[in-house]
Amino acid sequence: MSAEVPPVPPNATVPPNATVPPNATVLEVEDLQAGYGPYRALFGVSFTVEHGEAVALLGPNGAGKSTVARVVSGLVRPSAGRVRLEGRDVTGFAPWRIARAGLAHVPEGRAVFTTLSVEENLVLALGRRGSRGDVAASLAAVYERFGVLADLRRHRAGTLSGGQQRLLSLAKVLAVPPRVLVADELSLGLAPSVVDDVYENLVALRGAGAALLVVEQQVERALALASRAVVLDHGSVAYDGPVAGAMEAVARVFAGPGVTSASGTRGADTVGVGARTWVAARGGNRPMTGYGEEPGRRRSWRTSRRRS
Amino acid sequence: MEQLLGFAIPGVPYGCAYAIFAVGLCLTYQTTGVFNFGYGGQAYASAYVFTWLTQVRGWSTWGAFVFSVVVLGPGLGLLLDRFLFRRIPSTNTTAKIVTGLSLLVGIPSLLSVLFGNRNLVGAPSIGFDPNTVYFHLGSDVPVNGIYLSAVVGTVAMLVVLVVLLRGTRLGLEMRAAAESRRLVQLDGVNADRVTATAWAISGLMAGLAGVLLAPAEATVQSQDYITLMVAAIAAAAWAALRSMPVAAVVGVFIGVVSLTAQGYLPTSSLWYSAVLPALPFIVLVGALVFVPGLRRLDESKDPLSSVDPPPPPPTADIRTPQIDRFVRAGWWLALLAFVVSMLTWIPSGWETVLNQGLAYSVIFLSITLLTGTAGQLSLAQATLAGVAAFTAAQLALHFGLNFLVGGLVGALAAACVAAVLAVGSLRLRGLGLALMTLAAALLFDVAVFPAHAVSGGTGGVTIERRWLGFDLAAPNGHSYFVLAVIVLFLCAGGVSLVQRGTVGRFLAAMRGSETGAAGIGVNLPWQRILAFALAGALAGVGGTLLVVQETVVAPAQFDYQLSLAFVVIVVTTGVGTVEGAIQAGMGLVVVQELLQYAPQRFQGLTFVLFAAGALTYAAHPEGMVELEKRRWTARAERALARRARSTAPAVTGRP
Repeated sequence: MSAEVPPVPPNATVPPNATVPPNATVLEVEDLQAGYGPYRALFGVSFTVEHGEAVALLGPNGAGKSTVARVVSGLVRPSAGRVRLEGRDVTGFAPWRIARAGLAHVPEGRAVFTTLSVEENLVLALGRRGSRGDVAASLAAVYERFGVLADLRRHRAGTLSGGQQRLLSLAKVLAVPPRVLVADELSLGLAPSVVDDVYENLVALRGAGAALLVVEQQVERALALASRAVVLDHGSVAYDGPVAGAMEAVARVFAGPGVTSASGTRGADTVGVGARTWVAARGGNRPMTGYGEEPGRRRSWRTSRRRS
Repeated sequence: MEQLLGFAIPGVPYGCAYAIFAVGLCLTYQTTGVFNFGYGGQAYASAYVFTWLTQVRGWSTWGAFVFSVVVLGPGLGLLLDRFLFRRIPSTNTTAKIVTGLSLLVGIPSLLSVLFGNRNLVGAPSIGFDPNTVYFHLGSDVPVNGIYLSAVVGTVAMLVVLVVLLRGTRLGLEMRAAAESRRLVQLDGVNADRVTATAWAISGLMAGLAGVLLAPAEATVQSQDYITLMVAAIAAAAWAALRSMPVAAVVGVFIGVVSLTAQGYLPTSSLWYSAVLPALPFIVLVGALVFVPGLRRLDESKDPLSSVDPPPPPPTADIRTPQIDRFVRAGWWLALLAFVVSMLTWIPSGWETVLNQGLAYSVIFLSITLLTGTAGQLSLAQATLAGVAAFTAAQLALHFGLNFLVGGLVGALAAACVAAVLAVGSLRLRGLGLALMTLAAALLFDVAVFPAHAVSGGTGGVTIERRWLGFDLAAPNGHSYFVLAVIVLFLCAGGVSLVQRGTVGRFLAAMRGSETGAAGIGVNLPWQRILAFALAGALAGVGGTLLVVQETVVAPAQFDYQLSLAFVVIVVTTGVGTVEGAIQAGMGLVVVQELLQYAPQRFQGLTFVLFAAGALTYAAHPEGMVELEKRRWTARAERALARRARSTAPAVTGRP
């Protein structure tokens, strides 16, 4: 652990981890399966994020993007599969252990403590991962970077606008730069100019050596930042490769199975098998649902009573 | 001035007692997100064990203090966290309230089961000596050890807690964990440990409060602690469960004002007999009406609550038609068998008991409608039953009105009271609504029901029981049973129709999401008033039915604590379905009757059993019975599937 983290200058570098060589795999996800009660969301998702790399995690509504983010940060316990952080198996760890190991997760939507003040939110974040150095100096650095938060520091976070709350949750993460950042829909509900700001911060973070996993529905933005893309469809990986080929896969997946099965050209060269087998099992032409379902099973509590 | 001080000073220890509890309630709410109704139960447990150890086992005062406050208090808090509150999703307000209530009802009953019904007297004081007058205020107002202990204890506790909560990192982490146990973990905070610490501190405070207050009364009675809780709730409400100093000041204010007024008011006046005992509830209602913070109590929600899986649908909705047909036929057969048995072979003693169960079932149907369908929590259903019963009794007494007609008028009166209650609490929901209904129940309990014009004092009103010329009291007649079964059948059918009809869908929409329901054009205030009025009428019908059997209507039959127990019982068996209410009613009387055969000390076990059942509500909000039904349905369906596969293996194959 890095006990002595200095106050954060505007472009701080991520504390190096001596045990991990550069260009090593920072985050590795292997054959993940997960769900909520009887509803299955992931059917064997595998990908990696290398050191200092930004990976865009894309897919339509209900593809399982947020679930992947939640499993990686420990909020959802996977029913099968492995999550490795810098080579260490962290599958099934409590979220706070994973956070202390250097992974930061900005969840989707409002993710601040509404009853605490802005400053209390930041102090809470500063105390993690052993950095109990000069809190005041760190706060000053954060306020310098996010001027709007400095003006609101005494306000309760619940009184902030949606965009300000998103900024606050990003500031919480950047206060102590993480080794891996999992950002879930950072642009959601933000004005375009604010989104530009947010993405500038992400670029700076990547430049400082952090690995990024960016879940995003604004595909162009995410692809501009990322060097690689993973496209999910119905809880399976439909594409994993360089940004250049991602757009085509995204278009195919976003258009839905109805379109592709009718044309009969699902492009077996780039699209993974997961999505196609799923579509076949469902009979090929059903409308998309909120959750992916296990093929051949009725959606009901009884089918998975043991798990609940 | 001297006289005023003379009246006001004795109010201070009472006020401090309220303040200590109120501060504890605020602490628990802010650090765990739970409004812990069980706080009074926890304090009582420590006080009871403390007195028992010193007076019965002969322990030294400090030894008993260490065990009951430092060991038992935090230990109980940790147990509650580990086995109950940790399992409740942070957004489920109803589950938290019901669990807290079942602790308030269950802990005192459990203690009397464990230790026997003993009268514990003479708890030693741990602070200043209660018999020594330390100094005089003014010229001749003596200040003895009880006052000093209370004041010093309250101030010390207040300072320590405010510093802990506002000034330390642990306090910050506890407040954050109370809002979202998941989100705080993303900041690298071990939420489990922080919440457990919060519960241990809260338990310690409850224990300290209990032991500090034990010497104030001659005997240690759970009743005193529950009364304390009520005044403390009023004080905490004025602080919006937030500011501990405000809670403390209001607590002291209630104590001082009520004793000062007691000194000045003539004992024969209505103010003295009715208004004064109701002061805490008037203060509570005032807080609920005027403190805007209470309306927003349930607004701060866990942003990560969507990580929880969605709740399961009721079994009846998802079982296969094959089993469904079987189950439906089974219900009709059971009803038929029950009616035939009651008319033929069941001994009259048990018939009386089961008849009572029928009446309770009608009252419980009101909870099915209000809580199960509309998602509103009322802690006043027994009181509404009482409103109807007393109305019917007074009509019969003064106008010679037939009790059945009177019962209907009474039900109408109960519906009106319920509607007024709903109108008064339109802006509240969740916890605020529960507190408002509790205040109403207490108001009736202390100020209305004991009044001579209503109940003729504690003795109650004796009523005649005649129905279409049949004497309902005839020893071997079945006329009461026939009446009860018809009423229950009509009420159950009515509730079932409402649930399936348009109103039921509106109410279900309101339960699911008030914002969503308003968005599709549901008139929320009207639907809420309607649900309260219908439930009030049902409770009224049930209450009248209940008293017809007992020939006497007395205030004790509609004690507000019964309302709490009712909610807990129905929730245990299943609040969503009509059969859940009937199971609750029959289960309550059968268990109570069976316990008659057990030794005296186990009499309180009924409430312990149901409280224990309600504790499962944390993990299974659909109720224990509903859970078992789902299990058995699943088993039956698996068996059916196996049989289908062995007979026709080719058909079931899937591509």
